[in-house]
Amino acid sequence: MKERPRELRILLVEDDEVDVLCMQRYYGRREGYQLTIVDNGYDALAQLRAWKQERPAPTVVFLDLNLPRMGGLEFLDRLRAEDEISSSVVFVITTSTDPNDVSAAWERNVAGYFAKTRPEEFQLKLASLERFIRSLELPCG
Amino acid sequence: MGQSLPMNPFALLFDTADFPARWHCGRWTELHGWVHIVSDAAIFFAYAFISSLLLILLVRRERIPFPRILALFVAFIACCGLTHLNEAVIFWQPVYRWAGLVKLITALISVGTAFAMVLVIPQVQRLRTPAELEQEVERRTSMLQQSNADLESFAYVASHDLKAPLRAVDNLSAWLEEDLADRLEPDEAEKMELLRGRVRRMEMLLDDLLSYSRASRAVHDIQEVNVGELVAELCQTQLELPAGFTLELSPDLPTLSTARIPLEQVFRNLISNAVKHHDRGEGRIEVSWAPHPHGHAFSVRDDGPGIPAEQRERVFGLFKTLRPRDEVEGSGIGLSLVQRLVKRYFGEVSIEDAEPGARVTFTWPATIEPESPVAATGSAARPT
Repeated sequence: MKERPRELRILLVEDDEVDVLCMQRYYGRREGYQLTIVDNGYDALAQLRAWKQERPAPTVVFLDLNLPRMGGLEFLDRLRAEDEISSSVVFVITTSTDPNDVSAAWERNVAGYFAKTRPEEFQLKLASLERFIRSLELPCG
Repeated sequence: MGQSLPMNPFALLFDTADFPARWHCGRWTELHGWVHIVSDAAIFFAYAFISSLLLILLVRRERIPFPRILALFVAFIACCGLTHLNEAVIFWQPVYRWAGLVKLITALISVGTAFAMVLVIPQVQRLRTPAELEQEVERRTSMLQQSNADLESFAYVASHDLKAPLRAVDNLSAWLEEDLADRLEPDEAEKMELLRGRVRRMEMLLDDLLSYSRASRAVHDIQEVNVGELVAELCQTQLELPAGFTLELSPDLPTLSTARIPLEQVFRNLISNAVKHHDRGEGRIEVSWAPHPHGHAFSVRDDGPGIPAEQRERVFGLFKTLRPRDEVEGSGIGLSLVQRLVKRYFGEVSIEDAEPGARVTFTWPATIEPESPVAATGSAARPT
């Protein structure tokens, strides 16, 4: 009998409705993911803290950079400074291809950086990202 | 004796019979006389020299303000010189009539010059010193650079920011198409197809606008470029010439040390235009070279429908195309981009009839100083 895939939590930090829809379409059709959506850095930090308290489980963060209230880079700074959640695995998924943003994100130890491009191309990126996170050994919380 | 005969006026002018020579008029000492003679002669030679120099300046059209006043000065100084010469000559030859005439002329020119000076003085006062002009030039240059930089960052931001909502439309319409795939009526499906086509066109426009706004900002590396290989490779890998098209490269295409990326962009746009706007599905494209005072002149020639003479200026404009966009997919930026790139390196683009077809020729510099053109246009975008 086939083993049911382990549940993987995804925290999507994204304020653009269509981009949220894009992720929901993609992960809604796949088993083994729990997609949680917040639209700014504050709520993202709060959510990660809450998860840590309640029930540790493998988690990845999909982070947009241009966000209201607290942007992606500031979120990363706070995240890395907070012992409890500092080891979170973060993938940046953003429209920005500005070299400054790219290097700033990598300097904050992200696990990957993806540019949102045309739908066909972006679907391929999403597929390889999914394969990648599926094959990762993630900390349990 | 000669006085009874009517004299011709010219002879009368130089007739000395009525006057004594100056040496014999009054009691001159040798020293006193020669002081006058030598001084007058010296003044004459100096004035003749000064007026000749000014005349040379005038004739050579050196950049002189107020050339007409200068011409009056030339005449005035020359005449003054001549009056002094006459003063010296009169010690031996009392040509008082001639001397009087010269004095009269000198007087008229002097008075005229004096009046002209009064008119010109206010203008002279308004003349600015080279240092002031330099400042003015600097001020205007920096204003121009600022407005260029603003315009470029505007184009960049506009096209960049417009892409975000467009990507959403792209996504949403793709999902709709996907979700409704088997439920759409044929005419609905056709509308969906049109919608998707327009979205792609908008994306292309924005991408092209972005590359247009980057054309004069990016700093290009200088490298060794074999133009023949560059064009051949371009056609094979990037442009994917349709089967019916042949590319003919003139064997004398040079190898030059130049900025590869903009040169490739220019060829890519010209060749893809030649294919895109061809009236048949097949054709010949020729790329040739000729020496040019500016360095090199490259031509891309096709055997398509050509470009009507009255349209040749227009096609360089942004977003200008000669055929409806539903027939030929194109943003209309290609030739504007070509012109912008070529002008950045101080070249020119021209279009001529090639019977049949059109020939687009552009000039490219023999050498590109890594400093000069890039520094000249790039400084606007560089933070200071």
